[in-house]
Amino acid sequence: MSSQPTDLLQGTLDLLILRALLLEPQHGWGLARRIRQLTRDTFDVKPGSMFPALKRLEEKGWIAASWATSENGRQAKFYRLTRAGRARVQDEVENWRRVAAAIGWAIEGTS
Amino acid sequence: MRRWLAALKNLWRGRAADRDLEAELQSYLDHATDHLMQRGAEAAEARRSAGLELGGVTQVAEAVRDVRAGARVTGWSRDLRFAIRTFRRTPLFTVSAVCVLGLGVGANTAIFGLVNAALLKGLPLRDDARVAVVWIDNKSLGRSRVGPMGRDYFDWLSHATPFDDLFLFEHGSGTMTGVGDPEQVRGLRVTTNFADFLGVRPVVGRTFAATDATDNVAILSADYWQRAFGGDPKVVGRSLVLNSVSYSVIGVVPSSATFWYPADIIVPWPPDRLRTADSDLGVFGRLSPGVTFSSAQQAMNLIAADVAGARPDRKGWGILVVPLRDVAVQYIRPALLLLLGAVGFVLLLACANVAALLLVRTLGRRGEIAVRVALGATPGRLVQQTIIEGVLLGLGGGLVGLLLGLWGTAVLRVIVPASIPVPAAASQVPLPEGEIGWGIAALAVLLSIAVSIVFSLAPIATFFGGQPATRLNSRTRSSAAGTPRQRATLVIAEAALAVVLLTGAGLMMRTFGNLMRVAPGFDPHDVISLQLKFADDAPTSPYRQASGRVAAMAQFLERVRAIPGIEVAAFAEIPPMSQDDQNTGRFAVLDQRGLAPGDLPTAEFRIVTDGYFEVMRIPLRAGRYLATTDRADAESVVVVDETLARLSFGSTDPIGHYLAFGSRPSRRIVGVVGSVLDDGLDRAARPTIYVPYGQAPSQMMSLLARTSLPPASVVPTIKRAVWSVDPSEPLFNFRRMDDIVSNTVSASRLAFLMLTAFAGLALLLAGVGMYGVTAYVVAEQTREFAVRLAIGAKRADILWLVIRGGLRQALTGLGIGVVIASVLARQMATMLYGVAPLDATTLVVTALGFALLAAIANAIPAWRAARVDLVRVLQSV
Repeated sequence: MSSQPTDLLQGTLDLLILRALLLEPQHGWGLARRIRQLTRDTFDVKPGSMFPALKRLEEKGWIAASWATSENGRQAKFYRLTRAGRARVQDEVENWRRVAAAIGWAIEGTS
Repeated sequence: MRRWLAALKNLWRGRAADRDLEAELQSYLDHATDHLMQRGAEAAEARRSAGLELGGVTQVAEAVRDVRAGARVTGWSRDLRFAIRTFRRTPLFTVSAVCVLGLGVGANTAIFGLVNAALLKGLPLRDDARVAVVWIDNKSLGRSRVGPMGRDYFDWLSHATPFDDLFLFEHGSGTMTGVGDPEQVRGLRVTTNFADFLGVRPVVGRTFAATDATDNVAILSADYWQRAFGGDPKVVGRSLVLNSVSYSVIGVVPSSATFWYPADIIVPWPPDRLRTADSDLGVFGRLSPGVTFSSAQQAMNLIAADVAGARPDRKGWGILVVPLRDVAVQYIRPALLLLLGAVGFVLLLACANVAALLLVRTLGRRGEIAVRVALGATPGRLVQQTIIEGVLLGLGGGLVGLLLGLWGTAVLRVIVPASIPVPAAASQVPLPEGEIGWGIAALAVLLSIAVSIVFSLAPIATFFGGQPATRLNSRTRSSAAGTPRQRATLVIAEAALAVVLLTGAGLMMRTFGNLMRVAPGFDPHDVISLQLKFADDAPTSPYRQASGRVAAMAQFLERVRAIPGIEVAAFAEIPPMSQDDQNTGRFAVLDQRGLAPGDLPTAEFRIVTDGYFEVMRIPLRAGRYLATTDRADAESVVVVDETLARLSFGSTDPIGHYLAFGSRPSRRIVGVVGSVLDDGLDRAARPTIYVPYGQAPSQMMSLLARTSLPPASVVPTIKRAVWSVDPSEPLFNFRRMDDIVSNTVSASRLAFLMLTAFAGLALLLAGVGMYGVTAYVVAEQTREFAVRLAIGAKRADILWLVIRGGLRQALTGLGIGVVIASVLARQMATMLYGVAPLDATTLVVTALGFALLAAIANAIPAWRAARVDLVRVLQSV
């Protein structure tokens, strides 16, 4: 329902989660590890940020969750992108490119 | 939409979601632990690191919960749970507040239910606010509110009346035969515009058409239809025999159609019979458009003058136009309005009490509230919490109030008689029963909630506008001075309200006591009454002859007097105080010369059989009672009462004098008896002339029998005794004389009982309120008292200090209450009897009584304060 532009930091985390889930469904811990890999250890998302973000995305209807067995045989709650989420990834990516480019110009164009 | 669903789901499944989250976080820990162990960590070490990484399950879970949809709503529901917990922690407060609110709301609900039914709801007929009762009156004859004759009606119709339509009816009763036992039924003879005028729709069949006027057709009331025919829809077309005349049933109407008279059967009025009807006709008129009641009265005044000009027998007679709504409740309205006012005071008192309870509780919680304010609770948050508490409390109070209101309505149905006699109008007015519909119920609960929210918020207001730090401090300082003004105001208000109610109750108590001390002039105890009407419709009926009626009556009396357990019995046309009928006329004392006919005095005429004075125990003052020998063939005699003797004869002995009645033969006075207060205990006796039945045999008589046997056994015996003479003669309308007398004071009794109950409630509430506030102040100041004692104050000083504080407020309230009461008492002057509105005794007794209560309510906590354990209190500092 809400279409407010997500604020910068929160938006970054949301984008990372959505991007990570584009590859395959993942559970909370696996998602944290995947993001570390994808960002080459730059972002270490703590559970205190991760789970509220997952909840938020789930309630926006971009991701959905279900319990399944993980790679090491334990029960875990797996998150996957919904159709709306998949479409959203594209938007968020373009959005991010614009922001990143804008910030790049701002930093470089000092003279 | 989706968020809304999610919010609902979260709210609904809050616990399941919490468990799910817990499992998910546990799963996270397990995965992290597995990973660390794969890297070669010890199991315990791995688990510890994983835990550290997670950073606390609770904190994460809380962070997730805040994100969940409907977090705001969950906040409300959390506040709700918190409020319920708070109430459960303080059961004494909760129960008292709910009960006090419930009492206030319940009393108001019950009284309002009655007032609404009686005064506000209107009557069950079409456009009832524009319907008038039309009477005639003659002041010089002392006749008020009499129904006109048929001729009067036709005279009116020859003029342009201010009415759209006039509806005429005649009450009657008849003997129904052919349907089971002979039964006396109540009937109405009506003009054929019956259904149209009243706005009545038939339940079965049809109502009268104009062409039915001369036919023997009948409409039944739904009650009688159920009683006699079991609600059989095939009743239409059946024939009934009423007073030996056969009628064909054409329809059934709801019993409420004849709301002013519980008729069983309704028959049309042939115009020629209507023209010659000389009895007391009932007339309702619906005002023409644009006409007011007062302009209708003026128009009818002109018509009355015109009629009197044309018909000498109508000289001195006027026409009265009275709104129907006023007639129905005229005699109970002052009592109802008084009660409505009084019950409003009860509600205010209950509010003050709840406010005091809430105030004390809020003061007790101000530490908690100050901490919450200091931690950043916004006014909005606190207000939200308080409103939720207020709604809960109000809901509880409202529900308790509703239960009490329903119970009170049932009690009122017992106290308020179904009908009350109208003084000097020879009629009974049916009273509607109070009832609590959904509207009133909803109103009661909403009122309770509104009151509760307002008084919950008031004390909270003091927590804003100061620095949190000083509020925090005030928890530890001993000052109970948080809101001394509010507390004092409440105590003063409670005292004033209670004193007003007490004064009102005191005045009604004295009024009712005075009324009960009034001797009615006869002894109603153990006297029962049954009505009897000679049915003489059949041309062959022996009752068409006066001698036939006299003979039958003598036989009835003989058989009834033979019943074991019946001490004495007699018949009277109009039992004392019953207002069954009116029989008033002029008389002349024969040797009084020079009186113009217009100046002749009037008297009440009472046709009675021998034994009447003995049954009613009306004392003989001079001469003799009436006897069986006072027959048609004997000398014409009368007995007069003391009032007539005094007014017409002064100090002369009336015995042996002759009274003349128009063209009828004059009668010799043979006895003087005590006066009877026929118009009510609070009204003067009127001159009365007792005429022997043998010389004036009327049709409708009431049997009066003095017996101590239970009516359930004696009434059937009496009926059998009468039926042994004439098996078709029904006896009906069983009454106790005690009830007849007590019905005449029902308005006073209602006001007295209810006001006394309210005053008792007020005393209780005010007493508890004063006690509660003082007890709280004492608890707050315990340390101060201990210090005072430690530095040399005497215990008596402490005692006095506390009592003085509380008593000063109570006495201020007492003073204000006395002033308000003396203003308001004047409004209830019409309800009072034998006591002035500003009755000094009542005011002094009330004031002293209340002062005593206030002293006790303050002395108990004061005494506790004075016994304070010095060492323990000071150590606890």
